[in-house]
Amino acid sequence: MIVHTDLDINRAIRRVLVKHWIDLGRISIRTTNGRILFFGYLRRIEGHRDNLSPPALDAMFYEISRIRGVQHVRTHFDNWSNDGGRWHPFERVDMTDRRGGSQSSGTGTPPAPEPGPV
Amino acid sequence: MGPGLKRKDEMKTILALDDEPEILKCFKDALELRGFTVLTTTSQDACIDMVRRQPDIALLLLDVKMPGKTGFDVYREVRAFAAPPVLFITAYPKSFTVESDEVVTMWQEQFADGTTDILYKPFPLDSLFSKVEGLIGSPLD
Repeated sequence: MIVHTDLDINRAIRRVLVKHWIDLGRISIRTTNGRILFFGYLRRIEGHRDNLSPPALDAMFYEISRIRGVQHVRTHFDNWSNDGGRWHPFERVDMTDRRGGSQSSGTGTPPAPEPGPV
Repeated sequence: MGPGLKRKDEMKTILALDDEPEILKCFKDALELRGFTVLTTTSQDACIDMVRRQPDIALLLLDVKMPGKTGFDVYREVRAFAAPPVLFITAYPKSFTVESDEVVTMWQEQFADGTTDILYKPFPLDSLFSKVEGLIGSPLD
């Protein structure tokens, strides 16, 4: 039997994200027994001419949901929400920018409290 | 030693490259507390040589902007003979831009295998652990 570990799933997810030119530095993925949580700021890498759109996200997350071993996908992005299967853009204040990091425009924040910054 | 315990030399080894020793000390302290073995260097060539000589290196942490060779240069040189997972850590998100032919080529040829990730500074320690363990799992897997 082929076992699809969480690491295999993560790698497959990153392949999909890279294919769609998603900025990996702004999002985080947590995978536990095939259950995936995405959080952070979802956008393409700097300079990409096509902004993300609901159809583009539908296509991307369809690919992710089809990865072997994926049981469930949940998203908690700072700039896109999915309500009843429909994607909606919105803007949440970017805490990285508020800390004065002019070069760094957001890593996204996870839903749970975290230890202090490096 | 109990059946679930491993010796320190059995823990996964991470190699970190940054031109700032203080940053390397932060990585080393944090990741060793987490249970990883961490090697550090401020030299790009030493980093490449260590990967060549130590095939058990589980993960490479690479700064992007450094005097001399960039993290991208080191990445390409390493990828010519080995393929450890790589986590780029940088304060400059604009380093990753489609306006750079170098980045586009790397993105399409190397990032596409899913073993490379990016973390932007500043970041909470939990994000560092999450990115590292998302690439190589926990220290004792």
